[in-house]
Amino acid sequence: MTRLATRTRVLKHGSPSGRGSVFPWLVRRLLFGVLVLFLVSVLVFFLTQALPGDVARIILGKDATAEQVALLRRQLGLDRPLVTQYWDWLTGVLTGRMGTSLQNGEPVADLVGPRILNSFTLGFVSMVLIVPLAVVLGVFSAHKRDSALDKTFVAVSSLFTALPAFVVGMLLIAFFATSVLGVLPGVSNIPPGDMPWWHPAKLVLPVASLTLLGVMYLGRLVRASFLDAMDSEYVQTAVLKGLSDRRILFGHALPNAVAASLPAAGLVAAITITGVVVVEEVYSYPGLGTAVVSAVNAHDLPVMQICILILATTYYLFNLLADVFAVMTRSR
Amino acid sequence: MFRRPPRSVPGMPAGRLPLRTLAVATGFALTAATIAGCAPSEPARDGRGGTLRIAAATDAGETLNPYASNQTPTQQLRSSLLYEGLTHLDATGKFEWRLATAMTPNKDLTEWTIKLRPGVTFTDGSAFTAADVVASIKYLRDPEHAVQGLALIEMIDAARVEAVDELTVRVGLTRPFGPFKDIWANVFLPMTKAGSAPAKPIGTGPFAVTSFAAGRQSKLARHDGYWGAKPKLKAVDIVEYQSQQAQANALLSDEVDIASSATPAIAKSLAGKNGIELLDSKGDFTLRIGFNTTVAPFGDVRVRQALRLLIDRRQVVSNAFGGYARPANDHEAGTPQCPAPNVPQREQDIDRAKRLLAEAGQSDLAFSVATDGLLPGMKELAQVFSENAAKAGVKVDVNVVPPQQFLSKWGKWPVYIDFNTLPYLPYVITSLLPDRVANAAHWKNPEFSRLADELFAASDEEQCSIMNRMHGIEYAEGPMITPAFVNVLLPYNGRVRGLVPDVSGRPLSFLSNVTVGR
Repeated sequence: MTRLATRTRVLKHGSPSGRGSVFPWLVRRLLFGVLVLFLVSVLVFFLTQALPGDVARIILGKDATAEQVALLRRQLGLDRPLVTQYWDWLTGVLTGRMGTSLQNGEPVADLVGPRILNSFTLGFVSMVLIVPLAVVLGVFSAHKRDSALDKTFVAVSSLFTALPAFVVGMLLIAFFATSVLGVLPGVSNIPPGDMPWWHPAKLVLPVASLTLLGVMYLGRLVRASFLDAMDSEYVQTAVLKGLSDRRILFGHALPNAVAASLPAAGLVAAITITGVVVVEEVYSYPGLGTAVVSAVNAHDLPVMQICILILATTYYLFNLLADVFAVMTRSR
Repeated sequence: MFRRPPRSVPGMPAGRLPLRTLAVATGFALTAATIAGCAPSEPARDGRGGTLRIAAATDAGETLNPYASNQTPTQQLRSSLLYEGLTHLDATGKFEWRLATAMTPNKDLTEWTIKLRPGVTFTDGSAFTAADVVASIKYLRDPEHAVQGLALIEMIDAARVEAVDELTVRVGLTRPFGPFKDIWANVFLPMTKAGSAPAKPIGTGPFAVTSFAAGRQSKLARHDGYWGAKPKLKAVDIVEYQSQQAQANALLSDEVDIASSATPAIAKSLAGKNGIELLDSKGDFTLRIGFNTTVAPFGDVRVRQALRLLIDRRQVVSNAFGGYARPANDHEAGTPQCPAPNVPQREQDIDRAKRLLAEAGQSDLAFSVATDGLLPGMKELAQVFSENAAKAGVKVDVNVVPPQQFLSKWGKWPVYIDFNTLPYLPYVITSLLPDRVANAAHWKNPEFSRLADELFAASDEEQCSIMNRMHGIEYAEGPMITPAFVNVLLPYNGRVRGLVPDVSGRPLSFLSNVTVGR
């Protein structure tokens, strides 16, 4: 709710005033996005330099002598000025050369490519489930306002919104995989070269974790929108005109409530991306999230940069999508 | 919230059908996913021994190169199945010949002649010869390659390594060295086909790689031309997981047959569940608290001895290692063939420790002990020590830092938690002699170094007595608290048969008789 409210305030200042100005606004936002991503890459680069530990020492370990560490630093180009290192990386990426992993010398594209697909699949399947389930639950709960079901939904959704993603993940593992039912795999490692959908059983729990968190958050927003719609003057008018409950519910209140929730759905998609990182770690799922964790641990800058840029780009695009939905809603 | 006026509703409400469709589609998707999830994983039915699936820790920086620096346990595990050294220690710690069948020195122990095993083939089918040994030793000896085992073979003169004939190699040394054959029984010093390392290393081991994805999975298949006892297993899959808990979850949900790293707490919680058993390897693996002797007051032997008297070794065994350990006595273990040195077991003695600290003018001693918590029990050991020390008024903070930070200040920490998995001889060479990189305590003891030189030039019969005198110096003046020998625990599914405990803590190197029933 807070995020949505913030978004609404921002839009009052940053959104196009009328329909005709949508395109230039969108172009401006996209250009701004490029600037944001550039700043993200600069930030990641210099933060990596500030991290304790030297990548050459990390690669060689404690048994290597100072001379061997210095030699590797030269081989990896780490002895050059920071600006030169950054410029080489940036021009490389812009010309399609993403470089090689500092850890094992493999091309970054080969390492990251399959992981993008894995993470995208996880996020996409989750979103496909989150949106309809959130609408159904939100509307149903609002329709039965103040009933035991409604109160249960509000209580459970508050609980799941408060719980960190990794706790939800671990609870699901304990219940469905390891301690109680034992019907699903407790880990979701997709073998290299396989498509994630070849292993649907391994997708169930990670998707369920993300879906639970998303549905509980978005469902509450839909519920609130729906309650707003039901209290609105046009619904009251429809009641006075003697329209049937079903017609008021599905014909008038629901479309308005769903439209009002669409910007929130865009934001939930963005939040799901951060959830993906955590959930991948819990389930040992080979996606961008686990790649980021490994790369940060090893100070593997080329891998870290690409993974974080992909995540940041996706996050930015979904935020933009949320804004576009909001603008469309307002302009209508 | 955004509001908009109601749109016109022609006949049937527009929202009705899509909502129902969506509900049906969602239900279908969930049901399909659940059914798929309930389907049992396909069992492996591939030959008499089956496929052994081992869960290991993720190592995104790994390669197949057995000479890489800073190898994690995952890499070492795979290397032990793919490559072999000239010699070997069996699961009881007893010396065995492997790719070599004999090593004979000249009179002054400065030149060794190695006889190689005939009839050995690499996994690509080519014959293993003296040229491969010469190439391997020269690669290992080149300081530019920064191989992990370099410290062990620094006495080799690379210019004097030569093939005498197809199965004989002569190795010249820069100084006399007696325990030459023992040095080669090390996972960091394997033999590979000439020219194959580091890009595509080929070994002679009982398994060969069929697929490899760094940080994710490696698949190994039996090497049918293996010269030794052929494994019964048809294949081994090493699957990498992000955490020890994920390994445990994989074992519990039958995704793997063995979890290769488990804390004592996790191992205990797994035992007995879903047919899981524990392989308990009692060996000489140690976790220690090291004191940097170049940092005051740890250069003062009275302070080090006082701190050794503060620790409660039984509490360390029970609290830090869950009972899977045995008290140690501030020296490393010797070899299984040698009796323990004749020194009394050191016990906690707070009063004596206080007296020693007072003598050294350190009654108000306060310091922090750094650890990266890399191995099970490290943090717990530091915490038990901190509690014990408080009884004498010594304030010890536990400083847990990321492994990268720990490594970046290696050799500079005043007090730190370290570990040792090596047998005594290589351990002395790499960690207890002056100016060795692994000697982070910077301990220098002329008498100890003199005895080490004596050990290196000694015959097998003389070694035990020299080692025991060295242990005596470690006990009396050493730079570390060595409170316990820690067991290595391996939770495995009861369907796996033939595993043997290993005193060196690497039971997965011994898979000859292992089978997996499905």
